[in-house]
Amino acid sequence: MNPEESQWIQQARDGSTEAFGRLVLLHQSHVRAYLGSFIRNAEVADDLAQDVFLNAYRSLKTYQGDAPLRIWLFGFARNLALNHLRRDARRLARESGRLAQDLARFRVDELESAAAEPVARESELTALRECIEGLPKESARVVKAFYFESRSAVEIAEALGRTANTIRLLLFRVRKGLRQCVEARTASAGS
Amino acid sequence: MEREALDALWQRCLAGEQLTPDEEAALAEALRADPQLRAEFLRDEQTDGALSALGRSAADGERFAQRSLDCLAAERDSVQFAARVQGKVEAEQREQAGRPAVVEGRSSGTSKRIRPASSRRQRRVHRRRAGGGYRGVLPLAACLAISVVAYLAFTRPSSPATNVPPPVPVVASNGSSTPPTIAVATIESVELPAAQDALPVLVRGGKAEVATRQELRESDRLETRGGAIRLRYLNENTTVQLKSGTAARLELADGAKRVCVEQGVVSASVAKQPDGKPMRFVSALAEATVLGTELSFDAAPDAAWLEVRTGCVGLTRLADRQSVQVVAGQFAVAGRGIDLVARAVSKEPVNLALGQPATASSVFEVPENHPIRHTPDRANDGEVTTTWGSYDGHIRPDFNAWWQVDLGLPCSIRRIEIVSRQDEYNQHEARANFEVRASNRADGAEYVVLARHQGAPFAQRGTWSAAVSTDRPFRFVRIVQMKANYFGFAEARVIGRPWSGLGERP
Repeated sequence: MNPEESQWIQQARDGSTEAFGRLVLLHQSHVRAYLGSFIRNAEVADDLAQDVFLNAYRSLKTYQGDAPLRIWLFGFARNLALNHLRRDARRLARESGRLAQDLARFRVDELESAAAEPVARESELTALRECIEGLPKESARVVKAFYFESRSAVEIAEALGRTANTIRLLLFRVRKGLRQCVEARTASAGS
Repeated sequence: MEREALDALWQRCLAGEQLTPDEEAALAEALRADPQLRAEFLRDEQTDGALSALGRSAADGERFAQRSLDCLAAERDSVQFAARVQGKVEAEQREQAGRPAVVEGRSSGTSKRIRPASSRRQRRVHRRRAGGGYRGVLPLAACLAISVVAYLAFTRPSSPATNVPPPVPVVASNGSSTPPTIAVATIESVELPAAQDALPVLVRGGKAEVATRQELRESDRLETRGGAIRLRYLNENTTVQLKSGTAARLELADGAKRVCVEQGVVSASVAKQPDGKPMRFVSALAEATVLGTELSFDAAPDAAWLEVRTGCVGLTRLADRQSVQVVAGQFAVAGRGIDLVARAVSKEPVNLALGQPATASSVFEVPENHPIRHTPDRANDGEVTTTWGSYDGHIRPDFNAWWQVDLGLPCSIRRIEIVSRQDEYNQHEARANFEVRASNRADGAEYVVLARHQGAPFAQRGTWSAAVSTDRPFRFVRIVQMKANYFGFAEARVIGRPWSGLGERP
C-alpha cells in the first residue's frame, strides 16, 4: 500500500475531495483495467469506472480497511459491470445475432465466476503490468503502439513494413504470451 | 473449421470487424461446442480489454481523476440545489395550509423540533438530506429546477451592465431541444477565420456554428478553431476571450463560475465575484482562482501559464495542490518539473542561461596534481575567465560533445551568444561547426535548430552571436559540436524572456 494512502482515505472520509482525487489517481488504472476486461466499449467501461469512484466516495465511511482499498473498489466495479452486462445481454437477445448474444452471455458467466473475484483479478492485473515490462523488444514496440499510443494495426503495419493481419496475429500471440506469463506469476505467488 | 481459421476469425471479431453471417455462425458454433476454446478466447478478450484500458489510463489518468472530482462537485451542487428548492416548496406548502412553520428552538439546554405531522414525504426528504440517500430527491429537484429556471428566464431583468440585445437561443445541429441548463453568458463578438472549415463552433448535444448575441448555457463547450470568441457573463461585467485554437467549457459549480480550458488561451477581465464564489479557470494541470482581475490563462498539454495584469490570482497545480499567489505584473507556470513561483513579467530580454542548471556530455579534467575541472556550470556563471570543456581527446575522446542549459521554464529565445575561452589556448576546433538546439525535453529530443556555425572558426577570445527566430517557447538549449572534436567555451548566453502566456507568444 502506498504509505500515504491510509492518510488520504481518512482525509477523504472527512470530506476532502483533494485526498479523494489522489486516491482516484492511484487506483484508476487498475479499476479501468478490471472493467475493461469485461466491458468491450471503452467509453462505457470508463463511465462505469467513474461510477465506481463516486459510489466509493459515498460509501467511504463504511470501508473498514479489512481488505486493500483496491479490492474494495473492485467489488463495486464487479457489481456495476454485472448489472451492465446483464442489461446488455437482454438487449442483445432482442436485437442481435447469435454470436453477439452468446458472447454477452459468456461474459456474464465469466464475471460471475470465481476468476473474476476481486482478489484474483487484482493479482492478475498487477502481474500483467509486470509481464508487459518483460516483453521482447519488438513485441513491446507493437503493444506500445497499439494499446498505449492508440495506433491501428494498419498504421503499425505501414510503419513496420508488414501487413495489418500480421500485426493482428502478432498481437494475438503477444496476448497469449502475456496470459501465460500472468498465470506463471500468479501461480508462483500463490505457492 | 480449422483452429487457424478460427483464430483468424476471432482476431477480426475482436478488432470490431463485421463478420459475414456464415463466419459468425461458424465462430458461434465453435465457441458453444468447445469450452476450452471459449475460455481461451474470452481470456484473450479480457487481456485485450485490460491492455486497452491500461493504455487509456496511462494517457489520461489525471483527466480521469479530475472528471471524478468534477462529478462530485456537480453532485454536491445538485444536492444543495435540491435541498434549497425543496425548502422553498415546503415553506410555501406550510403557508398555504396555514399551519405553523417548522420551529427550532432551545429550552433549558434541550433541543426541540416541531414539525407538522402530515408529511411523511418531507420527513423522508429530511432523512435523505442528513444521510446521503439523495437519489430520490433528484428527479423531483430536476422538475422543480426546470420550473425555477423557466421562472427566472421570464422574470430576470435585462442586464444594466451589458446593455446588449436579448440573447439568441441556440438549437443544436442535431435538432434536439435545449437542455434544462442555466444561461450563463452571451457571445459578444466572433472573429471569423478566412477558411470556412475552421469556423468556431458551439458543442451542445451536437455542434452548431456560433453567432453574436447567442446565449451560452452551463456545460456549453466552445471550440474557436481558426477564429476567436469574446463572451460576456450575464448581469456583470466579466468578459472572457477565447483565442484561436482554444476549446473550453463553461460551468457553474456551487454558483461559482468555472471555465474549463481543455486547450489554448483565454484572457479575461473578471468583475468582483461574490464572497466565497471565486471564478475559476481550470486546465488538466492547474487551476486559477479569481475574485476580480484581468488575466490570461493558457492551457498547453504539458503546462499551464497564468499572467495577471490587475488584481491577484491564486494558481494551484492540481497534481500536488501546491498554490502560488500571482499579482499584477507577474506570471506563473504550473507544469511538471517547473518551480511553481510567481515571476515578474519581463519586458526586456535578459540572459536566461545565467546561473541555471547546466549539464554536458563530458567534463575536462586533468590529473590530480592539476585540480582543474571544466564543469558545465562554468559556461553560464557570468564569468568569462572560467570555461567548460569536454574530454580532451588525448585523455579520453568525446566525439559527440554537447553542453546544455535548463532555463527552468519555457522561454521566448531571441539571440544566442557564445564566448570563446579568453586565455592563451587557441583551440580553434571548439570555435567552429556547432549547432544550437532547443527542446522542451531534458534529453534534448524533439529539438529544433535555433542556429548553426559552419566553416572557419570564429575569433579567438571572441564572441559568436546569432539572432533566433522561432514561434515556440523552449526550456532546454543544447549546443552540440557537429564534428568529432574537442568542444568548450567560456560562456554561453541565451538572450530572451521567460514566456509568460498571452501576448508573449514569440
